[in-house]
Amino acid sequence: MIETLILTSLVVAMAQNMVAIPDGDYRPLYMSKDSPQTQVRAFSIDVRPVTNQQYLLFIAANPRWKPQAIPQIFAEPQYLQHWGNKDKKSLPAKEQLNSPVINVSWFAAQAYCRSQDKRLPSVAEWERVASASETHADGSQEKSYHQRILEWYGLPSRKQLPEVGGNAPNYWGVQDLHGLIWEWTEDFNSALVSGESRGDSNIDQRLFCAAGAQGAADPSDYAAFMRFGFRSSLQAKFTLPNLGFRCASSKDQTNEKI
Amino acid sequence: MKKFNLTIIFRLIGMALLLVVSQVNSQTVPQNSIYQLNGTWLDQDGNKLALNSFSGKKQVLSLIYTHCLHTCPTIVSTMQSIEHKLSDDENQNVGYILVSLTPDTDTPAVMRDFAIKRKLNMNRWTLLTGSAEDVRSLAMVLDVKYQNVADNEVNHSNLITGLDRQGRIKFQEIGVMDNAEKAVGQLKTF
Repeated sequence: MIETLILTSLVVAMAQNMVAIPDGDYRPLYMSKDSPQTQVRAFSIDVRPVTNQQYLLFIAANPRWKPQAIPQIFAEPQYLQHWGNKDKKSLPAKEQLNSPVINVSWFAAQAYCRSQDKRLPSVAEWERVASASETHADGSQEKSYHQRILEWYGLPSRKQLPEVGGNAPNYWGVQDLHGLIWEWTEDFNSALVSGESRGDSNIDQRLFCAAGAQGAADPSDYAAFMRFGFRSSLQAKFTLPNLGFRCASSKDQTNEKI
Repeated sequence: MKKFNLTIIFRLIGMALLLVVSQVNSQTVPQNSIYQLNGTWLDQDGNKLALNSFSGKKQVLSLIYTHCLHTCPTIVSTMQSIEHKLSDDENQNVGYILVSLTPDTDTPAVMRDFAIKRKLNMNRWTLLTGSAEDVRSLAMVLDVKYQNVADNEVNHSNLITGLDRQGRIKFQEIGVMDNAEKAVGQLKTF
């Protein structure tokens, strides 16, 4: 009986509501107004970021990703450090359970999504969903939209993150894309392809050079510039106290009843 | 009935053995080895293999795709130049690996053709194709950046990585001919 109860609560906790996002376009901010938009195929995305509780259940089932077991090539030593000491009892505090999991590397985030038969969203997918305000698919049509995001970027990090779901759902019904944490994406570092002297593309300059931004699709979208700058500074094994993730899927999982 | 039970017992023993083997593996692969990556890859002959099967020799590795016209041919030429600068004796301990960035079109057969066209010595070279996720994960541990663009082309970092016998990254060089000598020097230091 108790086992059934535990199992049920496990399943409930693991199940993440997803919403379907239809086929659409997304214009990377560093492209000029005349450049073709990037097509984003229909996909599903988690409504909220993954919580500490959900992540705890994941590592309980996949001990390789426990703090004391994770290979050092997959995460920095700060991995899950907000759960307390790195001894065998490393667990999130009760008040952390429904807060987003942070201090996780790209490898850990990817493994989590894989365990759910999902994947990390691509930059294009994430940006497409995150460019919606509460009432418009294209949030930039609302005056206060960018301002609110930037105000959040200007706040210092909080010691205890609030619970997920605290921000109003956006146009697609997705929550917490802004205002809570930064999130891993599957191809986070691909905007800056040429790290070498024999550069294979020149888009990186347009991302960072002020003059280069003149040709950008929406120079006022400073928040998006900050996200691209932040992403390109990351490495896959980084674990940061404001960086979490959510999962996506190309399969339609929104109708799944668990 | 007896037969049935025996089958189950054999299966259980098999599973137990597998568990033990995988445990041993994860213990012997160093913490900072790229062979910690899971994933199943296909070589140019269609054989399934894990990255860990490359342990035991030093490896020179790069991510390319076979229909790439710009940097990839130079990367492959640079790796061949490294191979030719090493003696046969030295090459006994070195393998050369090319991993495809366009696994959908780089099937084992396509890679085999590429190997023949580029006159790769198949005693030393392996060409690999895998799932998009496994390719991305491998690129992440190598800090190789890439982005798929139109027409199945890929913008990508132009890096050659040297691995020690246990899959630890010992050096990375930009894949241009001038660097072959440098890579050879590096390969002799470990």
